[in-house]
Amino acid sequence: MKINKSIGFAVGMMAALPVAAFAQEGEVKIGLAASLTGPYAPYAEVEGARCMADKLNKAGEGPKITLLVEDTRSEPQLSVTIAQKFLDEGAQVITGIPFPDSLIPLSQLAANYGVTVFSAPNTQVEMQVAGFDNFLAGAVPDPVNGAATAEAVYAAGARTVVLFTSADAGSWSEMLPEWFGQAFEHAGGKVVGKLTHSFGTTDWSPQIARLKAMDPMPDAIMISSVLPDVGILIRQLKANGYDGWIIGSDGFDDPSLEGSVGDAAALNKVMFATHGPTGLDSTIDAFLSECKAAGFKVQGIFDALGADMVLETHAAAVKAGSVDPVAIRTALRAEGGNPGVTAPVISYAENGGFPVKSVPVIGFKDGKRVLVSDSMPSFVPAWR
Amino acid sequence: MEYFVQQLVNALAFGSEYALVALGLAVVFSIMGLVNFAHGEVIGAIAYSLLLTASVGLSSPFLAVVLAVLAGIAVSVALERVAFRPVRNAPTTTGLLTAFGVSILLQNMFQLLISPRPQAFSLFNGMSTTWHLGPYSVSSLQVMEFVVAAISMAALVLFLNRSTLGVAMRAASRDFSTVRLMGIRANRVIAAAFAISGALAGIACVFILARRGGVAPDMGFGLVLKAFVACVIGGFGSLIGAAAGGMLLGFIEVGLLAALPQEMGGLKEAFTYVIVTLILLYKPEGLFGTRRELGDKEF
Repeated sequence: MKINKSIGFAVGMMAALPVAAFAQEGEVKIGLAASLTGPYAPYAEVEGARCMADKLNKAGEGPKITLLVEDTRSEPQLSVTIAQKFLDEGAQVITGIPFPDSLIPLSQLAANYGVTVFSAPNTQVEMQVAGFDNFLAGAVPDPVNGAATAEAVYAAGARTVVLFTSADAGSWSEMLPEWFGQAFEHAGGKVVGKLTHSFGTTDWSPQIARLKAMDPMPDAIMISSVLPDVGILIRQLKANGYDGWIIGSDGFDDPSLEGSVGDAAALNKVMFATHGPTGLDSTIDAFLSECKAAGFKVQGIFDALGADMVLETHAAAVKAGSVDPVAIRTALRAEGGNPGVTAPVISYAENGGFPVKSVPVIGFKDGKRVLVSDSMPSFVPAWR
Repeated sequence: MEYFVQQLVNALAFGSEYALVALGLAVVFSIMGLVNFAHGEVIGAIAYSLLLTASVGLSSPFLAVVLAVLAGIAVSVALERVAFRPVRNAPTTTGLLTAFGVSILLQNMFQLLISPRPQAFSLFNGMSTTWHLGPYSVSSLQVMEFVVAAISMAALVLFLNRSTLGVAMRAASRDFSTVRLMGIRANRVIAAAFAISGALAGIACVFILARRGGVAPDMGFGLVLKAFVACVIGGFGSLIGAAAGGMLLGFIEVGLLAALPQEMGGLKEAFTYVIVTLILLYKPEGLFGTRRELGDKEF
C-alpha cells in the first residue's frame, strides 16, 4: 500500500503539536444528514469522513471525533428533521444535502445553537450570497469552477460552445454553464446556443438533433449535471458523430463515469473541473486507497472533501483548545488555515464562507484521467 | 427537412418507450383496477438480474434479452402473489398504496443490498449505432425500439383477441364476476395479466439499458410516472389508449423540445402538462376511455 506522506504528516502534526495545550478529554460530534440513497448518493461524503475520523481517533490525540450519520434519501425536508436531531444530541458541526433548500434551513436552525453548518461538497453561490455567519463550504463556488474549465477548453482550441442548462439543481445546473459561458466569452470564445434538459434524461436525441442542425456544430458543449445522465449524453453524442469537446462540472467526478460511457475513445474530448485530482496517483488517491484498505467504501473526490471537513474541524478544535462550537468555528476561520486532504492547507480567512483553493481540470487520454490544469482562473464572472 | 425527420424519429422512439411501459400498467389496470406504480421497480429488478448474471459470465446479448423477459415475468407474477393478491378485494386506494409501498421497498433493497450508485452495464451497448439512410442518420436503437414496440402491441392484440385466456382477460376487464361464473379461474387471469405486464417490462428494460449503459435503483420510477400520464391521456383501462397516449406524450415532449425557443426551454414540462390538461378538458375520460356517469358531480 502506498504511504500517503502529506496526509500522514497532517494527521501527525495534529497529533504532536497541540498535546501540551489541549486537554485530551472532549468530544467533537459531527452530524451528517447525508444522501446515502437517492439521486445525490454518488456525491455523498460520508465514507471519507468516517475514514478520517477513524484515523484521528486511532491516533489518539486531540478530542475524540464522533460522527452521527443518517440517510436523507436526498430529500431536503428530511435533512432538516435529521439535523434538528443532531443539534439536540449536541453536535458542534452538522451538514445536510449540499443544496440551498437543505442548507439554508439548516443554517438558520444551527445558528440558535452556535453550531457550524459545514457542507463539504457545496458549491452553490446562494449559500455565500445569503451570508450565514455559521456556514462553511468545503469547495470553491460554481463560478470559479466554470471559469476554470472555460479557460482550459479555450486553451485547447474551442472557440464556440452550446450551453446545456436545467433548473433541476438550482444554480449548479442552471447558472454554472452561464458562468462558464461568460468566462469563455471573456477569453475570446462565443456562446452560440443554449439547450435545456431535465435530470433523469436517458434519451438526448432531441437536443442532439438541435446540435446537428447547427451549421457549423459547436466546438464544445457545456453541462453541469449528474451521473448517469452525463455518461449517457457522452455516449449518445459520440454515437451521433459529434467530435467536439464535452465540458462538465464536478458532477462528472465519480468513478462510474468511465463505466457508464463504456468506450475509452469517447472520453478523449471530455473535460471537467473538480475539487481535487483523483485517478492520477495523487495524494488524494493514496488517502482513498488507505481508506479502502481499512474497509471504508470510499469512491472519489467527495469522500476526500468529507475527510477535509473532519480533519479541519478536528484541527480547529485542537487550535481552539476547546470543543465549544463557536470556538471551533473561529479557529476554522483563523489565519493560517487548517490541514486538509484535498490541499495541504485550507484557509477560510480570506473569503469567510468558502476556501482558497486551486481548481483542477481533469481530461482523459486513452480512457485514463489526466490533469489538464490546476490553478486559480484568471477571470471569474461577477456573482455576488 | 432533415431536422424535421430526425425529430419525428425521436418522437416515435420516445413514444415507443412510453407506450411499452404504459401498456404494462394498462394490462394490470384493465383487469384489477390497480395502478401498479411498482412497475418501474420490476424494470429495476430485471436490470439488476441482468447485471448479476453478466457479472458471473453472461456475455450473449440475445440470451440477455430472453433472460430479461423471463425475469420480468417472474418478478411481476411473484409481486402479484406476495403483495397484490392479499389486497385484491380491498378498496382501490389500498392497492394503490400497496403498489407505492412495494416500489419504495424494492428501491431501498436495491440501494442497500447492491449500491445507491449507478452500476455500468455494457452488454447492450452494441445495439446503439448510427444508420445512414440517404441524407438521414438515425439511431439503430430508436428504430429497433419502435419496431419492437409495434410488434409487442400487435402480439398483445392478437393474444387478447384470439386466445381463450386473452378473451377471458378482456371479459374479466368488463365483468369479473360473470367470467368466474363461466368457470374461468380468477387467479389464472390475473397472474396472466401480471405475466404480460412483466414481459413488457422486460422488453422495455432492454431498451432502457441499451440507452443508459447502466443500472440505478430509481431507474424505472420516473418512467412509470410518464407512463401513468400516458395512460390517463389515452384513457385508463384501454390498451389502445395506453399505446396511443404513450405515443402522443412522446410527440408532445419532443415537439416542445424542438419547437420552443431556447430561452423558453425551461418551460417544457409546464407546457407538456398544459397540453395534457387541455386534452383532458376536451376528453375527460381520455382519448379511448369510456364515459362514466358521475351522478351529482356532473356539471
